[in-house]
Amino acid sequence: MNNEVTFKIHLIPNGISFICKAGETILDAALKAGIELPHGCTKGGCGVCKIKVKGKVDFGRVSKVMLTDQEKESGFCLSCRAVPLEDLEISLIDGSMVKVIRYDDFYSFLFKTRANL
Amino acid sequence: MPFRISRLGYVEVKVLDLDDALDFYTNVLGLRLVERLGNKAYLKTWDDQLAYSVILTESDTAGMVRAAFRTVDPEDVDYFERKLKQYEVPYEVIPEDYKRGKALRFKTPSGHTFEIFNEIEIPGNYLPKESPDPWPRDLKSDAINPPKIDHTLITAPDPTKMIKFCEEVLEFRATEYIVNNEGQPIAAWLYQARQQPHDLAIVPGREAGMHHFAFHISSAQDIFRAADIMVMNDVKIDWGPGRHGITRGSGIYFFDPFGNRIETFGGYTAYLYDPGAKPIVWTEETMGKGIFYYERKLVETFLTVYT
Ligand code: FES
Ligand SMILES: [Fe+2]
Repeated sequence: MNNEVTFKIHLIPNGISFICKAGETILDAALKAGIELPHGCTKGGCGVCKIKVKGKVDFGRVSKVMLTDQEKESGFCLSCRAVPLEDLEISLIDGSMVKVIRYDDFYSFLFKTRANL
Repeated sequence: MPFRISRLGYVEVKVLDLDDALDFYTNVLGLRLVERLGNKAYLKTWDDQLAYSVILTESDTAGMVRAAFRTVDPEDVDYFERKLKQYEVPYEVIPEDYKRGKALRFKTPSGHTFEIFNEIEIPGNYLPKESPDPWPRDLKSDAINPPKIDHTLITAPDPTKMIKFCEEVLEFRATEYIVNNEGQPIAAWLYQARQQPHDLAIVPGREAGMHHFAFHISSAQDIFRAADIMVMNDVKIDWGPGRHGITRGSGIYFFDPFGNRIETFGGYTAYLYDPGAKPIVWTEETMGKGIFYYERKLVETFLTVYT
């Protein structure tokens, strides 16, 4: 039990990290941790979830217009499709802070399961 | 002035993988596959009379390839050819396409490829012509099964110009507008001979963008059933089930597996538009309620997320 592969994703400039299971997208893991990364279609088609990424990812099935080959090489990915292959560092394109919902503040008295933050 | 276009005939939409697309479009949405040819698949809804209403094309992006409008009469194609000449709109005559005759193909000021055609095979819907029941008995019980294609909402960098083009050259008529503080329309809901809320709508946005295309669903109850099926299949719902102030329609926005937004739309009451009636106007202050009636405000993704 509990020896499944996970990766650590560090979010800057917030300076917090969250856990992503192998095969899980960056967006799914972030949302589970209450980190409100921007997103729209969640299917690699609209480009709204584009972020900067340091580290190896599988870019997944994405629109070539919304994420060009050149962008892939220069450290961008679509978070709704990208799956980490190692520990990562991510940030929004404009470098701004990401809104974080601290579920634990209002939630954890019911469910003490949000341990992945 | 007579109506010379009957309605939206078909849309061609890009998908990243045709096998996965067909799984979604036939098993979840419940469209019927007419034929798969190379990198394209032709589909229709169960109540479509024409040969097809959706074309899926495998590509490396999502989004719209073209939208095609069918004229009322064959001569109307010639009429629009004269109009395109008169307005100096460059166009091509496409002599034929899959199960279809001649079409005029041109680019709109918003960068979209539109076609106007009349001749197309009309195999009829999936009911007998003689004494039919109201719906086919072999509908997939766990698919959405919309009866008809309804409309498309597209984005334009200069929406006012695009609206004028659609009204003047293509003779669309407006049921509703959103106007800016100078009184200029920046969004429009446009109809043709069906006299339903819209066949085509335009909002501000990127060149050649497709905000969504929509299928008609008759009752609000069926829209809730569609939502159930979306959840059962883990389909990403963008908005709804909800109601639009504009068109009064109930709907759901959801995404296909490649991010193309689709709407199941209908349940509007008593919306047969009388030609000549004045269009409804929404303002920048009220447009939130116009788009999402219950929420009473636009979500940012309405204007930023599309293919
Ligand atoms: S959310 Fe649309 S591409 Fe990721
Ligand atoms: Fe719509």
